[in-house]
Amino acid sequence: MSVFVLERHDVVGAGRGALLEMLRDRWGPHLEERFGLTQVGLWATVGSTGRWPEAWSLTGAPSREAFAEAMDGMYPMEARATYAYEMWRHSLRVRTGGASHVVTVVAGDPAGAQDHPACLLDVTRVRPGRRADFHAAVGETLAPLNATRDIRLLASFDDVLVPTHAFTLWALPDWDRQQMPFTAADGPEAAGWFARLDELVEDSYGFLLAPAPKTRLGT
Amino acid sequence: MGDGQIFTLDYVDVVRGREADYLASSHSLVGAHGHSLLADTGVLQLQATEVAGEWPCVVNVWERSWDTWIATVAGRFTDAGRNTAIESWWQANTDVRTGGLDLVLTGSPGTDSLTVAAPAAAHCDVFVVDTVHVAPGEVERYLATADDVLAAETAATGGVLVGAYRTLWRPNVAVTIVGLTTNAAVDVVVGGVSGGAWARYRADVVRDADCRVMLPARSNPGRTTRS
Repeated sequence: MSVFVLERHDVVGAGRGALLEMLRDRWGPHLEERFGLTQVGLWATVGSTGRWPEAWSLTGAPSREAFAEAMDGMYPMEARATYAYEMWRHSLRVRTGGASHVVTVVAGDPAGAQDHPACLLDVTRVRPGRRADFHAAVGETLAPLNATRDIRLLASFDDVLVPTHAFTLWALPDWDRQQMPFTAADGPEAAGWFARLDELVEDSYGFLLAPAPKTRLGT
Repeated sequence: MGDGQIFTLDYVDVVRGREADYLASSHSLVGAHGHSLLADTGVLQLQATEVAGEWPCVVNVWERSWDTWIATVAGRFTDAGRNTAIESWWQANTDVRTGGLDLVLTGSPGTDSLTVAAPAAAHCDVFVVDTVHVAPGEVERYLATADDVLAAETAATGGVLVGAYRTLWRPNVAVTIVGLTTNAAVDVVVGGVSGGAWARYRADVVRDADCRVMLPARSNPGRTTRS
């Protein structure tokens, strides 16, 4: 996979379980079969860590060319992808809106992201021209720090269309071993990371994502 | 560009699934009411995809003279000179929109009137509406570079630079709109997959961006089909 759509889905009321079920069981397989796109991740936002009710998906294409071809074939849906359009239309009863980002992998591989009990998604706005430096700092400083807690860097992404936006996806080992996030007071390595963050970043926020269970999620 | 021409860029939060209804309804305003509000208007209408940017959303770009716009705004908030037809339309369409954000723009020296630019982009199937934040002192160079480099690189893909705009009262905000023939061209022109000069320059100066991949409305000038 080389290019992905990372999408936030805003949910109507208690409809998140139905939306996740539809995206996993019908939308994802259809994207694979009809457009050659792969649903790499599908999560519910852990409500106490971010916006709610909300879901996220990560859908990949094998190449930029394949992605562009898929989008050309999909839009406008009502004319070119009528079955997808029908599913999209039915999804409207459980969705209020959302936002999408076309992203490419800078480091790591998000394949298998679904298999972890939870993930952490960091959404970062870097200072102009410093995105490569930010990714390097994540790899050199933050990833080793997080590894001491078995938090593994799955993948770092660049937003293809917004040169100051970056995303970092981390896998958490399990819920039982979760500890408080690092602060600058946690030692010289952590302090070094926060100093780099201040140098490279305008804004950053993270939140936890959990894969949908096999039975319909009730929250 | 005509002297004193301005553009308004409306990001409209539409009700999901009602995009086409809103596009048609707002397009019905063009020259329909015999009042000065939209009598001299050029228009370009676009609809959000779930490829890049917020959804659901419709973008309307209107063009009019500064004098018309000022008169419209002044009339809207007084008892005299009110456009009751527009007010009726506004009241009647609350079921298809929930809100939005409007920006008032002026075009770069290379930006054509929408009466020229919109028909010139009628063959385009994909549009990129790119609102960026740069250093306040960078806007003029950003627009000049768009007129020169972005226009050439877009044309090389078969697309069209619809316009490059500064934003009134927001000295660090600039907007570009390009029409493209394929999604691959989005990546080439804006995403910089080919290492184009525009993408490199943009990556150096942009502090934040709201970059949306959108579809043209059926009602756009010169456009007869979207299939």
